[in-house]
Order: sequence, then C-alpha cells, then structure tokens
Amino acid sequence: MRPHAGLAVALSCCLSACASHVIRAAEAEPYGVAGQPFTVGQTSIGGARGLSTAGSGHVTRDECRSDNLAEVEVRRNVGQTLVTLLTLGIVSPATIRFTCATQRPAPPPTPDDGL
Amino acid sequence: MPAAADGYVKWIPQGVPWRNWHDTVKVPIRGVAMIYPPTNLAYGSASINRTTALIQQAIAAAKAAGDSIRAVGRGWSLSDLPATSGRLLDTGQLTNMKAIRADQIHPGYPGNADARAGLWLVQCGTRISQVNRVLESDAVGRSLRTTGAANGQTIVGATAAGTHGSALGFGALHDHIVAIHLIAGPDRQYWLERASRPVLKDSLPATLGAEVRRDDQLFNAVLVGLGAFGVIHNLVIETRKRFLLKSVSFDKAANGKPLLLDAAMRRVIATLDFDSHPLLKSPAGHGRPYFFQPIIDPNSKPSEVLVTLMYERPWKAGYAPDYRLADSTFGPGYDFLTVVGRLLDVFKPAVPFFAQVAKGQLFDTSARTGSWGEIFGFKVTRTKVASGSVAVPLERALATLDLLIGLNQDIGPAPLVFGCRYVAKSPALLAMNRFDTTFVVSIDGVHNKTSMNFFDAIPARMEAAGIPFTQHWGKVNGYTPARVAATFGSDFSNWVAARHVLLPDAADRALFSNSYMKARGLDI
Repeated sequence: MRPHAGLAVALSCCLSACASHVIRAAEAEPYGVAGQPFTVGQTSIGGARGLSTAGSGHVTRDECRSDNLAEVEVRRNVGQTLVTLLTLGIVSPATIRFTCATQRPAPPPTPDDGL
Repeated sequence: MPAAADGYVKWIPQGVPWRNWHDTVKVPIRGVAMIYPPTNLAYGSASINRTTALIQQAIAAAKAAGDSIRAVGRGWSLSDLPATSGRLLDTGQLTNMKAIRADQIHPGYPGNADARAGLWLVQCGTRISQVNRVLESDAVGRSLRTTGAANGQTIVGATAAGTHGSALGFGALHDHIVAIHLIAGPDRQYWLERASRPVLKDSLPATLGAEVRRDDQLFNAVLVGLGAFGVIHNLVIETRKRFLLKSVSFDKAANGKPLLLDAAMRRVIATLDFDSHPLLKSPAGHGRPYFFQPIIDPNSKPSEVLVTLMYERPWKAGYAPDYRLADSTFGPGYDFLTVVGRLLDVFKPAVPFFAQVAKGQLFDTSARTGSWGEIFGFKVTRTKVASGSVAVPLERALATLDLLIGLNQDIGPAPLVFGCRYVAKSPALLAMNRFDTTFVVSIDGVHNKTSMNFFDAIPARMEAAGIPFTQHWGKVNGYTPARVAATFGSDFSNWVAARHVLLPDAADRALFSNSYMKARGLDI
C-alpha cells in the first residue's frame, strides 16, 4: 500500500469514517431515551424515502407526545457509506437520531390543589 | 387498560450500549423504563401519586427480573455514576414545578419572609434551563443562587452528583434543597427534611402517602445521594429574589499583554482580595463580585489567565431574558472537540494551540449583563469533552495549582484548561464542597489519552503532596474505597448507615447499586 493511501486509511479509522450532520433548535431543551436521542433507520431508494424503521416517519406522537423536535442528526457509518457507493447512490441508508422538544409550556406559577 | 393520558411506563430493551450525553461512557444495559406521566392532571398530589405509582411499577419490574435500576435524566454526568448493567429509569419527562403556598409551610420553618416566598416544589426531571425560565419569569420573579456552568442537567441528576458553580459565599446546587421526596422501593417512599429546618406541614406529604422523616443525618446523606437511595421524585428548593449579573472578562493586562498567573493574580486566587489587584478591583458601586472564575492555561509559559467576574445588579423593570442559543456562523461544529481530541493524540505539538480553542469553546467569556439563566445557559458543545475536578481548602489553592501545572509539564501537554471556582461548605455528607471555602479546579478540555492520563495521575500526586482533596462525583475521578473512606471519614460511615436505615433490605440496596458504587466502596 502506498504511504499516502495508508495515511488516508489511518486518518479515516482515526475519525471513525462516519458522517454526522446536525440541526438543532435555538431554545433546545431536548429529551430522548435516557439522555440519548431516539434512533430511526431510513433507506433512500432512488432518491425517495423508501424504507424506514419508523414506517411513515411520523414518530413524534408516540415518542415525544408533541409535534416538536429539538434536534435532528443524520448519521452514516462505514457500511452505510459503502452501500451508497456500491449502488451509485440508488440505495442510500442512513441513521436518523432525533430528540424531542419539551412538550409542555412553563407551568403556572400558582398551586391549584392540596399540594 | 388505562388511557395514555393517565401516564404509563414504556419498556424499551436496548440492543446497543447506552452512552451518556457527553459520549464519555458506553455500557451495555438491559433496557430503559420510560416514565410517561399523566397529561390529564395538573401538577399536584393526584398527578404526583399517579407518577409515583409508575415509578414504583418500574422498580418492581426490575426487582422481579433481578435487575438493578438507576434513575437517569439527561445522562449529563461525565462519569459512569448513573450507569447500570440493568435498567435505567428515564425521568426526563417528569418536568413540573410549582410554588409552595404560605399556608403549606411548617410553622417551625426558620426561613425569613423572602425565603418563605421562594419555596418551590420541583419534579425530578425538570431541567435547570426550565427551572431558570420559570423562576425568572415576570410572574414569579425569583432566581437560583447558583448552578453549574451549563443548564442541560435535570435538577435531581445535577444535585445527586454534587454539581457546583462559583457563587462566592454560597454552596453548590444541592444546597438549594430543603425537602426530598424519595421513592425507596416498590412499596416505600419517604418525605425527608432536616429536623433543624422543617419545611412543609405533615399534611402535605401525607397526601402523597410518604413517610415523613425529619432527621438532619438522613437528609444530608440523601442530599448528595449518588442515586444510591432510590429514585428522588420531587424536591423542595429555596430560591432568592431575581437579579441580574454584570459579567466582565479579562485576558489582557493593562499593558495589553496576556494576563499572567503572576504574584498579584496568585494573591487574588488565594485570598479573594480583589482590591489588591488593579485590574480586578471592583468598579465603584458594584460591591464585591457575586461570581469569580480565573481560567488558567497550563500549556502557556508562563501560564496565562482569563478572568471572569460577575457583579450582582438589580433586576430592571421590563427586562426580558433571551435564553436562545446564539446564532451560528461558519466555525467549529458540533463535534469539533471530538475530532480535535483524536488528532491531538497524534499531533501533540499542536496541543497549546488547541487548548486555546477549547478554552473558547468551553467557557463563555464575552462581556454581558443578563439573568442567571441567560448567562449560564445552553452549551453547543455536547460530545466527548474531558472534565474532572479537584477540590481543596482555599488555603491549599496555590499549592494545588502549582501541582497541576507541574503534572501537566511532566506528562502532558494535555489539551486542558483549569477553571478555578469557589464554593461554600455544604452539610451534605458526601459533598465535594466539604471545606469552609472550597477551592475547586475544574479541569476541562479535549478528551483524549493524554487528558485521561492526566486525570488518572492527579489523586496520587495530591496524596504525595499531603493536600486534602475531594473530586466531582459526576466527572472523571480517581476515588477508590480507601480514598472515599479517608476523604469523608465519619461522614462516609454515616452515609452508609443512612442508606441502611432508608433501605433496610439488602435486596433493595442492591437494586439501586451499580459498578461505580462498588468500585468506590459505597455499596456496603
């Protein structure tokens, strides 16, 4: 293996060869599961959202109990990247990690019952 | 079958290891019990009782399966303190709080009129950011006295681990707490207060079905309880009248050169005599600083210092705090420090440069005036930071700094900076702030092998130098059974005894234990 290729492989391993892209809300009070984001696998087929472990992708009702997300991250690991490359992008799997925004507004400041 | 609005427990088996928020802990777990509280009840005794039943249901399921169970909120701790190989009980959605009415306060409560007006019942999963937002609103007009540097933790997660700030003359976050609602098993719950500071009338915990225990020793044990006593469901905290902080930072001396850890700076750090330093002297009309934090870069020679001072100012009528994260432009991204950490293991000569970058990422040093919740707000940095603390009596501050700087020269350079903080003594038995004025060196930066080696070497160096010290339970620490026993002495044995009182069954103590506790001799 040529030295440059070796360095590239070493650097790739060093950085875990993953891709990560994140967008988050400015007032982020996120919650997931035990501090971790919820995770959904999605595979794009022919440029469309073909397969998803979350079915139609409407995840927030059950997980968040609200319609608001705090943060969405798209991740691809080495295997997913390889599948995308080998299929020339026709099949492109990724992992979507998301956290929900706090579902409730600030509580009222005055008590309303025995406690 | 109960409706979803009544609340439910959702069991989520975990096929992959659990990671903490900062990605410094990775452990396999059996699964997570998510507590979804009722949505058809306002926060009060009925809602609390229904949620307590859900928590106890999850605890009972763990016990029946022979699993341990540990409550976790945001998983903010950088150590494996909340982790377990069994079940995590997710409290992240238990996010309510409400004021205590004057007629609910125990006649023996010794607080003054302001304290009586500022008692709040807070549910365990409420984030510090939410507490700030509610308290600082116009409708409430209150404030916390201190928090950690960030606001992402849940209030119970942060206090159970001993999180602190640097408010001069006040203790740590847990020192706000005056009553604790503890779920200590599938069929046992306590309402804990100090005998010397009763807070609520007995009729209120009675509506929860909780056994009232007013005992200073028990209370002070659970106050920094490390999750070992069960699940803390609710707290009562004392707050103060809201205020603003005027924050100023210095990284340059009067001559425009970098501010150094010279004799004048060392004097201020060791004595808090601000008038002795021309740059740090309080401006006219500002009084003594409310907050003081020098940050030392051990990789610059001589060591450079960045100082943040904050002065208490009265709240301005009409002031509206802005809690949003600042808009970003092109720059270091979300996981920047993780990438840097991996590279710096390979390119060590770049450490001093990147320590400067880390300093900018981890500490907000811009001059501003704002509420407590604004200034100690959201942090962009989430993953893979290295963080540990060493706390000593103030009179050993300089010896500790010199030791740490020397250690960095010996085994570094480590991509870390030293933030100096001051915390008043706490009555909590296992509090890190156990010295009259506790001087804390918060060591933060890039997570890599050199950083971890640095943290590993600290305890032995401190012991060799004969400096009494504590460490942060929720950060990287070198506690062993011998060190815990030696550091906390009779407070440690009293903490263990309190655990046996509140959890008389060995099976229940095992239920709330984990490998972190066993490795430190706490599970006895």
